[in-house]
Amino acid sequence: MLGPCPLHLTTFDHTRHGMVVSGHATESLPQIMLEMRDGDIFAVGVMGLIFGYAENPGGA
Amino acid sequence: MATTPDIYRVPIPPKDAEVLTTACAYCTVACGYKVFRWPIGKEGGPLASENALGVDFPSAGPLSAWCSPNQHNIAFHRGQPHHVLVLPDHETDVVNVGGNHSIRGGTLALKVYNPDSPTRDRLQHPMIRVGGKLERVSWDMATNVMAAVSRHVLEKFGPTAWGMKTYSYEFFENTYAIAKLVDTSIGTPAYAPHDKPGNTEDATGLDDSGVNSFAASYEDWGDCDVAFLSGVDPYETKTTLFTSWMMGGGAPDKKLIFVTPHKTMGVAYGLQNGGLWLPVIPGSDTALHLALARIIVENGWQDQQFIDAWIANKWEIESGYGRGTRNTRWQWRTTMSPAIQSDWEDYKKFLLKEEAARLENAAAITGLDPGSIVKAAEMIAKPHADGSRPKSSFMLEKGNYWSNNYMNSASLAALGLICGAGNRPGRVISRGGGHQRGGAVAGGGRDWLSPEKFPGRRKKALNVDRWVIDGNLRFMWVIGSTWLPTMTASQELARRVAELTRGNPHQPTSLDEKEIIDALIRRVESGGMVLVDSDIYPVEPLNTDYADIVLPAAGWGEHDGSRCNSERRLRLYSAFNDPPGEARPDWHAVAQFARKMGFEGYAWKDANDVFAEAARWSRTGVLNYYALVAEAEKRGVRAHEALRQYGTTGIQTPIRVKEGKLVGTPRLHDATNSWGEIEGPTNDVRWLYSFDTHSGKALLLKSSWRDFPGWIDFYEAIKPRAEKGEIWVTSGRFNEIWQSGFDDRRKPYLAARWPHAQIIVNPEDAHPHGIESGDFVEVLNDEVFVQTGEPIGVRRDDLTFSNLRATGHIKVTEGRFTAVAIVSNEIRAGVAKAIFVGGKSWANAVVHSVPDPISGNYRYKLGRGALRKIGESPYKRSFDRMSLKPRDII
Repeated sequence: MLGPCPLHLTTFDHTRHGMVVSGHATESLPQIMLEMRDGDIFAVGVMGLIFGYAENPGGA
Repeated sequence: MATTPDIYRVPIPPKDAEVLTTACAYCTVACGYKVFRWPIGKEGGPLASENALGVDFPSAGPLSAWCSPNQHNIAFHRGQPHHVLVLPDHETDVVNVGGNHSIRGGTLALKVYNPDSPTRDRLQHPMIRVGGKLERVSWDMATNVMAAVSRHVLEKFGPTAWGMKTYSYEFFENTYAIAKLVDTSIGTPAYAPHDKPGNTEDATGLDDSGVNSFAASYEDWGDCDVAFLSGVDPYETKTTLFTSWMMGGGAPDKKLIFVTPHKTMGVAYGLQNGGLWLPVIPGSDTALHLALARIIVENGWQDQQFIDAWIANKWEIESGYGRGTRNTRWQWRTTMSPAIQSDWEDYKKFLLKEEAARLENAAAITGLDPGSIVKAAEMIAKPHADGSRPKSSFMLEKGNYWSNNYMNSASLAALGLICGAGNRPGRVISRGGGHQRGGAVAGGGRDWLSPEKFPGRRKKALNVDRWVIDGNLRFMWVIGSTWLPTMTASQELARRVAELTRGNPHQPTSLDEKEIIDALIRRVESGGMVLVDSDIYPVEPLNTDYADIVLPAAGWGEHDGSRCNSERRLRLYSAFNDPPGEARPDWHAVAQFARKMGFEGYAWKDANDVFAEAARWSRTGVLNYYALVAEAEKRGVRAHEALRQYGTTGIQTPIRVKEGKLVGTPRLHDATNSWGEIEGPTNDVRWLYSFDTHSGKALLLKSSWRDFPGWIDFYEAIKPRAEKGEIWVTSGRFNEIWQSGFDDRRKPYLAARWPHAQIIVNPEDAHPHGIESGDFVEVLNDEVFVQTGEPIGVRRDDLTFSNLRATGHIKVTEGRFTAVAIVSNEIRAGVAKAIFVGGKSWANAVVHSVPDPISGNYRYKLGRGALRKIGESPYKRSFDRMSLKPRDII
């Protein structure tokens, strides 16, 4: 689990796609999608909109 | 044309986007919101100068304006698709200062009707059940049928056979129309609000002490040094009040004392910051309050100066009629025999004699550690070394009063009063609130037609559930309530409603208006009931399966409406999108029906007409907004527009006039509210600056644990039975769910969080049954008590549970429900807590339908049951649905 955020006490569940357990957030925690290729790890996308953005940067 | 909002991108509003002000549709706090609306096909730019938010995107930091995808939708306005962003008002300095919100209001945009989204099943047309199936009809036909059947019922059976069950909060315009119909035009005693079986008060003992349930301002909860929170965690259910006001406020180091079996995030936060968690056994609060009061009195820690000034003395109690006027429920309660009201000296004597007030007895009754009780008493009352007193405030909510209703609220009030709370800044006694305050009155009322009677005294409010079950109601109009799962012994109530409606042989078989009317009249003649339901959605089973006539309602955002929040802050909730199909606001449906009945006074042209008319009747109450309407009239401005000018700030009622200006009232009972001169249309009422009693001083009520006829024998009978492996099964709200989840299950974000009804179980109670988090469990109470017949009490003990049993007025039935278990020690052992109105999981099915005989209210928190694992739910191993994690991690 992640949290609680000190401002509004929200906690997030890693085992459930970053969803709010208890709290205030209006979106699950955005998650970086990772791919394993030949022993290397690549970040290939974002699930969810990053806080503060109207659109994820770099077309993610 | 794409009307499905993107989940990875939020369109930025252009500079010329319209901005409408409103407040939240959900909890009592009513955060202020702004709706940004613009036609699809346009967009603003990421620079502050290019968009209506005045923000550079990406916006910096966690406290600046941002729109999440769940705050955006595409809605119809004047028939054309528009983008709408529903955002907390970042500029407000009241309530949700700076744009705070909860997860509920934060996702308001997803509530908006969009046929390309899960809100597509909004009711759109009136329907009548023909041949068992709901068929579309016109408003004209639906109201014709309603009027014809109603006229017959009223002529043949009288007004007591005609009833309504409605929300008490969904905007003054609607509740005023309903009150006018029920209390004056029809004139029936068969009315129940959403959360009670009859027209009763909520925190009845608090009322009778002379303290109004909504006396406080949010500022008071911020300014107190110690908050005693009885039966509530404001973080869960009044989130912004907690995060904006209680975590900080004038006294950021305040200590929080929580009295609840469930340690949710607010409780955990309180513990981390020097507070206390008192995990009481359900129903035992009065013993705790008595013990605390006794410790305070024994140590001389009471606020004697306050008591001398503000507690009624012997003469003040005995002159006049207790708290209220003659012939009212208040009057007979507070002067009933044996008299429970007392002055300070009498109260001290009572405390020292009362067995349950002894620490060791109270500890045993409540299941609390005696050391915690002593610590709590010190925190709320012990003077500091320099002699100054802690500023203590007392909040109560349903964990307190949907239990031992009268005595829990009375004993909490007395505790607060002897600590000097009740009428000063930071020293308040108030409900936290559940729903917003949107109940208007229209004068009249027919309480005296109720056959119910408490021994020695006058009439009591009619229990509409029992009236229906006993076959006395022939016509029932439900508006905006799921009714059956919200009432006790829910399965028994539902079974009976089904029998009286669908189970009756007389059913319409064609769409011919006359044939329908004839069939329904034959139904009522044969002892059946005709059921009409107004709602925004299909509701299983009330309107999907049982209702004969279903009417589509317009909801929040689809019509201009007004109401107050729990600090009596009145706002205008602006319409910003079209209601679907032929859905109409409920005031409109009531008016159309009333005109068909030939009743006068329903010729309103628009919502503003209703708002202006209702103002007159608001004058005597705490939601008085008459001065605003009078002043608008003087200026030649529509009243709704005058209110809209106040934006999200609104104005706190009662509204008064000072030096020609409209002034709100932050706090009730506060002596500084006394101004002397009364200006203009101000209504001077004494409870503005003193307590709401005959004398203006508060009453201490002697809330005995054992001596009050109507509690202890009931409590003993309903305790969990060890031989059955039963535990207490209580219920309540959860932060991320509003009410029955009617909106939440249609918001993909929240439906993923709670796709199914839940029950929190302590590991000690789960392990013996092999129950793990994510399992389906069944809860069974095979002895659910249901009170039957009309309670007409003559002798003192007539209406005690034992006597009702002895005289054949208690039926025994069984109740069960299924839920997904979450095993966690955030709930005390011996108590499980379910979501209170969970889809098809009716937690109230295991709760006894035996009201508190003094107040008439149900004891919802006092269910019991044996838990049994049925199997694993799909959520036990889901990747993206239903977190099973505990709520108290800090």
